[in-house]
Amino acid sequence: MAVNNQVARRYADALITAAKESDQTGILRSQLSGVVSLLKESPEFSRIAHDPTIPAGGKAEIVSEAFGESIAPIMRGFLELLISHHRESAMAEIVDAGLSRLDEKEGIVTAVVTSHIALTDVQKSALTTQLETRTGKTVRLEADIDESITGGFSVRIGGAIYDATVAAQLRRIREQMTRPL
Amino acid sequence: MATTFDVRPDEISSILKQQLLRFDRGADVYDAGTVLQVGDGIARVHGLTNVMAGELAEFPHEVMGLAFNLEEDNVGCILFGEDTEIKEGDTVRRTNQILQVPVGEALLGRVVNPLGHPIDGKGEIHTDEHNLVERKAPGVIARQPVNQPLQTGLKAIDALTPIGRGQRELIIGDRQTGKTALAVDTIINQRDTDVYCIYVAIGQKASTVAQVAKTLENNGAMEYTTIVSAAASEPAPLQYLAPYAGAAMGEWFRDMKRDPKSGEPDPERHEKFKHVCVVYDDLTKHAWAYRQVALLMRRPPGREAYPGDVFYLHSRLLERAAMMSDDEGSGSLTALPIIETQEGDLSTYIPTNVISITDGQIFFETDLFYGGQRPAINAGLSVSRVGGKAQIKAMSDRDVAGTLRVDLARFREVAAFAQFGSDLDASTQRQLTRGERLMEIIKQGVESPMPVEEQVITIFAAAQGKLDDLPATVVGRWEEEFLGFVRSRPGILDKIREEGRLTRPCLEALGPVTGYGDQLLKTQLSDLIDEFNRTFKA
Repeated sequence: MAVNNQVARRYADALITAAKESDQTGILRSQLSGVVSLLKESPEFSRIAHDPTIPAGGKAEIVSEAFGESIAPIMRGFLELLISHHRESAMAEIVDAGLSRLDEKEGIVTAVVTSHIALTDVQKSALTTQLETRTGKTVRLEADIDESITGGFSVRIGGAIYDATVAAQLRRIREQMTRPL
Repeated sequence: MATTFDVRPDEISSILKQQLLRFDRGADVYDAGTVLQVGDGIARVHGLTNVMAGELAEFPHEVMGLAFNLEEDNVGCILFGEDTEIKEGDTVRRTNQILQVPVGEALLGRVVNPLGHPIDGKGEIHTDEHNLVERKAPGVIARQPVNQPLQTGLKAIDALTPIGRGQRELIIGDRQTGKTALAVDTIINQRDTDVYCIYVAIGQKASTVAQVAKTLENNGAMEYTTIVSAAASEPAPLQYLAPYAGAAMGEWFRDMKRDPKSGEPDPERHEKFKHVCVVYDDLTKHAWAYRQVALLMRRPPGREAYPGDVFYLHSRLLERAAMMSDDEGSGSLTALPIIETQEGDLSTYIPTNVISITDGQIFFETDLFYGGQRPAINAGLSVSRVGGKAQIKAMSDRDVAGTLRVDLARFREVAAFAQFGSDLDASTQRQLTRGERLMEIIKQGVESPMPVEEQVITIFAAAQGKLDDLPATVVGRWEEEFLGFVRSRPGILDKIREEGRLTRPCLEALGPVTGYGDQLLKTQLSDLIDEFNRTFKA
């Protein structure tokens, strides 16, 4: 939701600023990824975060008891902040925003390559190098398989898509051939 | 019927193979975004970073959308299709094209939707040319004053509130008073003229649009008409788009034709397709559709919940009607917008807006309609700000339509006294008698346009008092029989049609035929009417 986007960005920015001031930006990425995987792997935790009937105090207790020392103090403090501001239901969006903000700062951009069959590592690294040359940023490549494209591949990076799929070419051939003379 | 072709099948294969080899296998590159939210015919898209305002965007399942609101962190798009299959997370791609529609001769005779796609099942529309849907209207220098008539074939209009080419004349009234019928009859009357027509249906019942199409078809009007339809079941964004699409198609006619490759003017081709009349039926529903879209897009509501720029919505549409200067090709686009009022109230928001934009209005009244006066035009409140310049001299002659308005106005003043019968003084009685017959003479049926020369002679007869001795109720029959009489005496109608005026002396061969020698046309006409009246049985 648009509202959550703005909220998420503000909290994420606040966290990153706090981490910078206390010189903890190094661990921030792993901490944020940790919360992401936690939300994914523990449906219980996700449910508790979204449940409005559990009082804030109760949720704060759960966080301190369940995590205790296993998460960094800055992260625990951040979670408690979210709970006290009643923003814990936006946790997933906030940590996602945090990770993408970190990527932005460090000049990392995610590219998603969709291909018909899995690409080899050689192909992947060649593609990554090409994309890094084009964009001037560090590229983190994610791979996706989609059989409907028949062949070739397409890369989505930032707001742009490079479509070299066979499906798109077939479409263009069809358009060219059926165009009236 | 089997024919043997000279080309062999393997030759065809090799030609196709060569074409495929020559095919450019480069990759498509396009900007894309992701759907954040979709519903109610609109979608919010994240990304689409370089999209332009008014640009077309392609959604999945072949749905097109328009970038309507460019906001800080998302783009609000209105969808020109069903939103049911579009999901959050779907990819949206830019088309790099500002919204445009196909235009040209290929659209004549077709029924299309506001995107230019055919909906009459008669196959693809093949055209090279496209016009932007939103375009600036021609400036002052590019125009010339309206000086040619657009004959509607209806006596009440052509005599009282004449319409000129390039004018905007509003057709306004309550529901079921004959507004669409007027527009359709006008289109039918353009059959043997050089005016093409576009009928834009906004938010109408699909059955009504089908009926209009059938009526036009039956009267041979479809061959020079295009229907642009966004029926009530179409999404509001399409209804919002429809009039602008119609205007864009009309502008192809109005503007100088150019060679598609070189851009050089092509005056020969332009001569054939110079004039167009666009009917917008109706702009009330258009304003509703725009309000719906604007509110869904969270634009601040103003009076009656319409967005603040609802005046601009219609003013920019209607400004595209123009009579172009000779340098620009002398083409024209005449606009006939229709507005539906509630309970005859002309002072509400949208009607007042459009009245102030157009060059006059034709006001239909329910009371007149049910009182038998059809077309149910209130001659007092209806006006054409172009007036006599849009009439042929024969019609604007002071003995024809010249006195019509004044006589009808006098009649309205004294009409209330009609119930006193014989207790009135002679001059009031005369005004009443004359007025009643004039009101009768301007009545006309549907789908029966009358050529302007016939209009001239019937109105001349009534205005000169030739019907004052007949009971008002037989005027209709008188007109029918008189026209039959005149048509059987060739010459006078042709003369009026050719000369366009009644005051030239009639010099040539009319003498032996009518026996009137070289008298003024007007005098001849007068004598002809008297001759007919002698034999007419009331």
